[in-house]
Amino acid sequence: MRFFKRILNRIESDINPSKHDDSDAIFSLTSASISIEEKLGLQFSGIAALCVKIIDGIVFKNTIKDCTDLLNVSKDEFKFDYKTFTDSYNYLWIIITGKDMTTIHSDVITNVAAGLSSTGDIIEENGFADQILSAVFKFKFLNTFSQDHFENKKFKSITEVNGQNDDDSSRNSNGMNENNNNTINNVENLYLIYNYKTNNFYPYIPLGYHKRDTTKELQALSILKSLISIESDFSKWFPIKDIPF
Amino acid sequence: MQHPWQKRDTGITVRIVFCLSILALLYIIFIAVLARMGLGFFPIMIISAGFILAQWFFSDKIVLWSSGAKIVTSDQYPSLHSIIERIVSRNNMPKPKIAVVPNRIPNAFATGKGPSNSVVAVTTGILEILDDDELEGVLAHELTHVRNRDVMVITLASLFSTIAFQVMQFGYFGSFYNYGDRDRNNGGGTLIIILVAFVTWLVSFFIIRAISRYREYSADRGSAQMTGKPAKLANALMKISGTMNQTPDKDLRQVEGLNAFFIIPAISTSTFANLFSTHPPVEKRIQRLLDMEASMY
Repeated sequence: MRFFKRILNRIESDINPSKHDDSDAIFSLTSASISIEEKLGLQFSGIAALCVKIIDGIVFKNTIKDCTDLLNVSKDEFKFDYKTFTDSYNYLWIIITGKDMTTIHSDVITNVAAGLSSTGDIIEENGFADQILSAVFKFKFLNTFSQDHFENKKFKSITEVNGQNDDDSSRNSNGMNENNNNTINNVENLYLIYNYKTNNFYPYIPLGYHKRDTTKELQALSILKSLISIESDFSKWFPIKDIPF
Repeated sequence: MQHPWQKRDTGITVRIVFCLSILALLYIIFIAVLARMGLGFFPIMIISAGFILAQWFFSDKIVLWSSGAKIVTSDQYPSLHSIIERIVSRNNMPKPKIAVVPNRIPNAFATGKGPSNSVVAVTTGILEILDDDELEGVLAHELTHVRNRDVMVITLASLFSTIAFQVMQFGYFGSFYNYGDRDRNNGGGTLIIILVAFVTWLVSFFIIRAISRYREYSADRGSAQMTGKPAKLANALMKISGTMNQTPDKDLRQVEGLNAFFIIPAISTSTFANLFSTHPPVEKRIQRLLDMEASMY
């Protein structure tokens, strides 16, 4: 299967130069991060992680040991820290945090991406490519965007007043119900999830545990699709709940 | 100053004009052939006038009646009314009547003779799943249909198509003209009339569908221009269209076991199937809206 997939990928990357292999895709994010910050008001938080399915056996354990050894060696040069975390689905998260946030942001994301992609390379070289679930990059909404939210909220409250008092009671009976509460919740983070199997990114903006802000995800998509290779099939935008960072 | 997203989509306009001219040409040929075959202009005109009047006067009532829509006052649905009032006052349009269809399936439609006499209807299902901003996008979409007089455009465009269909059936069940003398010439004439009517109906069917799809794109664009929130309408489309185009709720780690899942390409409807549909595929509509959104940053 992998053989065919390789060939298909090879052919695909010949036809479509935007589809390279994993580390290329991850590094494309570093050059895109300036535009992402400028246009969407999204700043890289300095944290990214690789999510790997844990399997039994000494070979896998040694592979992870190789990864942590590499990270230990390179963490001073590339100015990051790392930690590992095992979640309730029994997935291992290798979380890399850029240390020196005072330097230019594109440097931070480049360093973190370097650590992340080389970790991924080690896992792939040891034959565990199928175990890699995804790489996840955390972005924070800057103030300009949350201000927009604040205005939205103000606007909402004004219309509420205009709609008079019976508005609220009829709202329930009409079925125009609690959906509005979602948009008032302040959105803080956008996670860019890189799927190692489809070689594409997609945005995920959690609203609590169960919900997501699809409108903001679509807004992000409208800009992101010209910067990085994006999963165009929405039905594959699977959330990762309880991301541990 | 006009931003790129506020401009008219000339590509779509050109395509609509192109389709309408082809359609007009087709209809002229159709009438010319009928006239040449001995079916005078007069009966055709009477049939056409009958259809025009009937559709003009009854179409909206039939639509409302068949869908079970009920006109609602601002006391019954205050927020629905206030959303529409805000859109129409910003865009200098007369306020349409508002109707609600008691149906769980999320949908909305507009009908009526023109901007001053129209009805915008929504189902209770759509009120349940959309938030106010998304609902505003959908209502603005329907109001753009009203402003562009799309009901009239499609009615007029499909008028001769309907007549061609009638002629076809009429001719098929025999002898609707010159029943008395059945000489060879006339028999052949009837056959040609049926054939021409069939071709007219078939070709106009596809052209009308194409026009309808283009009108949908312009209504989406108009809605985004009215509200300034293309992504909200895109999100509403995603919600309305059901699970196919929706972002999933299931965690990636839960579905990861189905490894093959990721290799299967998205099931895309073929262009052949698209030819038959009145609405463009939702993904394409969302893509266009997001292109508008992107040009706003």
